[in-house]
Amino acid sequence: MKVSLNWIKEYVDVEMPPDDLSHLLTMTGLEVEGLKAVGQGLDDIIVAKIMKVAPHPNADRLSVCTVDTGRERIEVVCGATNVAEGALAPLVLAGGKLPDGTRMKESRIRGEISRGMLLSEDELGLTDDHSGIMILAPDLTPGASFSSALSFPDWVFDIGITPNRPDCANVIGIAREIAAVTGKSLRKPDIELEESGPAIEDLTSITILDPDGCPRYVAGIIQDVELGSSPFWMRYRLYQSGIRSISNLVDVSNYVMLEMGQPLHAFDYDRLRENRIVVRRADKGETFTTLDGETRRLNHENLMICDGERAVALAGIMGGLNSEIFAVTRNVLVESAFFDPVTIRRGSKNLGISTEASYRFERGADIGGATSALKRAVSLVYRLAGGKVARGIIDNYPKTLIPPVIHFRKDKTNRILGTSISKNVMKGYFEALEMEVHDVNGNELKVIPPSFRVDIKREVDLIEEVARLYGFDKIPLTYPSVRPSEEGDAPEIKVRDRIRSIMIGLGFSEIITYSFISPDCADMLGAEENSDLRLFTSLMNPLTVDQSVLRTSLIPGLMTTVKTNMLHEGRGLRLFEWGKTFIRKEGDQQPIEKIYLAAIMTGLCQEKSWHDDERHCDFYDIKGAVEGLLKALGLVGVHFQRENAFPGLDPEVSSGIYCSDRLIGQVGKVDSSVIEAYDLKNERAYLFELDVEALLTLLSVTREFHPFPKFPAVFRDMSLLVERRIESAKIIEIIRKEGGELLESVQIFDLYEGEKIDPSEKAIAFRISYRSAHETLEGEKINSLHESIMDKIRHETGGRLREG
Amino acid sequence: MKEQLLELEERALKEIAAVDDPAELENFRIKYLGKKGQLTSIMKNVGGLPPDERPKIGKFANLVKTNLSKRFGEAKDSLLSGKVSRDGFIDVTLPGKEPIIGHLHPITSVIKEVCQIFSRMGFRVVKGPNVELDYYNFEALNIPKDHPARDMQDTFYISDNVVLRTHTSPIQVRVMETRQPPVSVIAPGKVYRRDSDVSHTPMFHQVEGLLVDKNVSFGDLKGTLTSFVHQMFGSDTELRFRPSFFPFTEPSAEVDILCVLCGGKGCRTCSQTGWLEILGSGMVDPEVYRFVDYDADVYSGFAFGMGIERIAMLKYGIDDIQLFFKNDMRFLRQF
Repeated sequence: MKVSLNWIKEYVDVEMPPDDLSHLLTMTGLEVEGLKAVGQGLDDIIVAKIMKVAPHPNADRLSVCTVDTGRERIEVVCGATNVAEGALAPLVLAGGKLPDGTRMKESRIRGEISRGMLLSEDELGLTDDHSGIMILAPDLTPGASFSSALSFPDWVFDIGITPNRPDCANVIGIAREIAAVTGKSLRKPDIELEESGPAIEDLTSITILDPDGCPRYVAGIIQDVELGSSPFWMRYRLYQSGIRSISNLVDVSNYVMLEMGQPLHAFDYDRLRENRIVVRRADKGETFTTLDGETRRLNHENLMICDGERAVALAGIMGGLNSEIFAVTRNVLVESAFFDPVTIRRGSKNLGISTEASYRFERGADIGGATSALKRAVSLVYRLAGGKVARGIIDNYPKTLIPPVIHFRKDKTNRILGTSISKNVMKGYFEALEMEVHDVNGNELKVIPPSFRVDIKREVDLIEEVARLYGFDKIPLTYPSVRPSEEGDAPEIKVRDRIRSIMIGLGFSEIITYSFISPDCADMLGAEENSDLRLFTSLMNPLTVDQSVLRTSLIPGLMTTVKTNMLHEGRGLRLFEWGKTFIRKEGDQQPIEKIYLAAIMTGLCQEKSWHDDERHCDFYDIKGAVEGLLKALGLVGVHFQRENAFPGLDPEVSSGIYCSDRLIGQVGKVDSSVIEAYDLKNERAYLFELDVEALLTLLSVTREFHPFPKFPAVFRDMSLLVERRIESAKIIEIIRKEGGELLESVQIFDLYEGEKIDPSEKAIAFRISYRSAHETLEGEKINSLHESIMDKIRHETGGRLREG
Repeated sequence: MKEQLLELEERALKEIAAVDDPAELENFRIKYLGKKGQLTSIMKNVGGLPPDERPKIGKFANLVKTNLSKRFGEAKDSLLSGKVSRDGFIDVTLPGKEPIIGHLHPITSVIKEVCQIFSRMGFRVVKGPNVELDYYNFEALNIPKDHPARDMQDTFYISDNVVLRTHTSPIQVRVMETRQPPVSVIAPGKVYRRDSDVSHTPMFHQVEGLLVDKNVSFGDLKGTLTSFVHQMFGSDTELRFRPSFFPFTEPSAEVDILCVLCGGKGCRTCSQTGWLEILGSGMVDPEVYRFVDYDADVYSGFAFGMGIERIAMLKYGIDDIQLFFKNDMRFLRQF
């Protein structure tokens, strides 16, 4: 809420500078989000009296005004049409500065010398009115300083009002807080009403058919008003609070809303059929045209203000076109009501209209303040637009507010806050906030909050008030006693940092992509019809189609990131993401959230350098990375098995990652169709994906130390020729099985396919290490074991020793 | 024969260490490794050995050969490439053979730092689902349907009853639901709000904290969070606790730090206020305890939450929140 300091000062004395007030408000819970000076640079502006207005001899639209500057009479040329003899207006003399800093020069305008300039409100930076010069109140003295006469400069505070404090969405509410914190008293506006019209009961009636939606409806009537524009002071305050001036009648209702927080509505009394008001729910399908010209379809959630025949306003939200104040309005009915917050909120949400009124009603208006706000409005209408005020008001209040009576404990308050504030000090705070306080005993108080404090219902709400007024900054710093928890962090947290560090060490950079993706992604990965990747969780209200479903795989995020980086990364990319996938589960409200680790590698694995040639990455680079990661994590029993059912991967160049016969992930080359779908030209990309939860169940909590071997190892090489589609893992398995407990390790140290051998074969060489835990191995023993392994291989694979 | 091989290896290694021009190197190759070289001729004799010695010696000879070939290769590389001169000079300014090292995402680094600070203070790291029931995200946090506080966060809905969590606060409820005090947890995670413009991304990260025990006071909240701010932003960081509103805490406080850019004078980053909001906090509202069956007359506690992107932006001087999720290597490489 934006509010002028001069306005606040009408209700409370403020002696501190604006910056200090800003700090004070912020520390009281009214956060000042902006502070702006208005009416600065007006030092050279004086009050001038227009003595004579003469037409400009050479220009139809200009006039030559003789003005009294308090010291002399000078002539100025003016283009405004509202110049009038006898009027007072702001003037800058030649040589003086305008608010924007430009210096006024004596000039000749179409042959006539102008020794100054009469100014508009817009030119003074006060409002946006540039329809004519600013006309000042007649009681000012020519020659007086304009800014001291009108109390400029002023300051406009932009205050963030939290949803619990609707009572502060008005100037008096803010002034009340200042008064409570500074110990000053609050001055409420004087309301004088001269009721010279007929009794209101003879003019109208109020019928409330829905007391839950409208617990209170207060109305007043002014007859024979004169519609016009509002005076400067009102227009200025409305403007600085962000509300456009419309006419004196409409402005009054906005002004009182800003001043006292009560939204009001002014109806043209004569346009109300049967001159009466009925409050009811809308019928389903009923339509209504609001004063913005929009026709709206309603339902039973909407509360309507009606006359004897039809709806005339959307209660608490917006008036109707059919009862709006307009040029010939003579008689006005002013509404000051209290509407149920939930009803207004639902109505406003349904229709998608949020107004200053609905904002206040849905947070909670002051049901107890409805009559004083009405009287204030009626008195202002009378002051600005004249007329006769009807005798009395109608106050239809079917659901009387029963204010809460709160039992408050001083000791509990001090315990919660960590303070030792006395009961009397606390009592003083409550009284300053206009609460009714009764002593119960040395520790307890009985507190009844005022009707505008809709946020105060419980003891804890009062504890907060104590903390606020005492000052958060005065509450001493203490520390809770730490009781160490025997449970550790969540399981995935324990490995997450380790995995991330290892991935960084392997050269992969971490990315974080949005959890929502486009539903096209499953097609782009070539997922089958019944694939889990298609079990999307859809957002009801996505921002874009590209972000309309939750990801079922991390691969689309990796691919998209590769794509974004391709443009400027000529080199290789190595990226990984740790994150959740979301698989919809039939019959469950929430999808299954599973954590995955996925990594991708493209382009160069080794750049051209002074010591190495460039090298493109291949399947074995990504496989090596995942092997290195799993080894570093201490996972044992990892093996790879060809598998061709992974969406997005080339079936020829992909493998399942298994550990103890459980599939924990996949690794492979990104299929060329996917590369094409993501428009990555001819790039080759390799990726792996690991199911972190599966990984977690397989990771052993502790590691066991194995003593170093006592006896030497014996190495034997074995160079084989085998059919080329026989997988190395199969041969190693034979070696291990046959080698039994003496077999320590097998390493593949050479692989050859090419011209020197039969094209259907490959040459593969193993270095086998044999070792016994109990003795130094005899050559004989090893030779026969080595040979039996060879026999077995020959038997099972048809392989043979490679000669030479 | 083994002795012969050992003697030859020793001699050859000595020689190659002294080789400092390509011609000498070639002589070395012919002398030892060539078809008529000394090693080859010894190896030819292996066949004449008794069968039980053959494999042993054969293997040993192979090892010698491998070793010599390797040393030959190395000597050749360094000589031919001319990078190691004959007098032992090497250009130490040439770049080393640097392995590729990846980069941690700045969000991860900040989350890690935040969690570590609270871990040291006895908080345990916990997690919760991203797709959350309305009950946990709003209802049990004292944000009923049709409450204006729901306007504070624009929500992505999965169904009328299920949302993408708009904050990490539902984890508070989940934790309290499953255990009795004392609890002290910290919960990092992704959160979602239907908001996308220059200063908002529809997904971002928060860290939530909760401590409930007997006799926990607002002073304890101030102490704990002051200690956090000092560890995170430096021990001379000025901070203030300012009254605010969250439906699930009362009293509620925003924690501001003195603007790191202007030092409090007022600048664009702090919207001329001199202060930067970095944390929301407060004493857990008794209404929340009612939902999780805690006795509000016995227990009290505090909760807090912070936006990680904001902290990362302040810490690293990043001016565009969108950068965090574009994953441009030119950005990631800087962390």
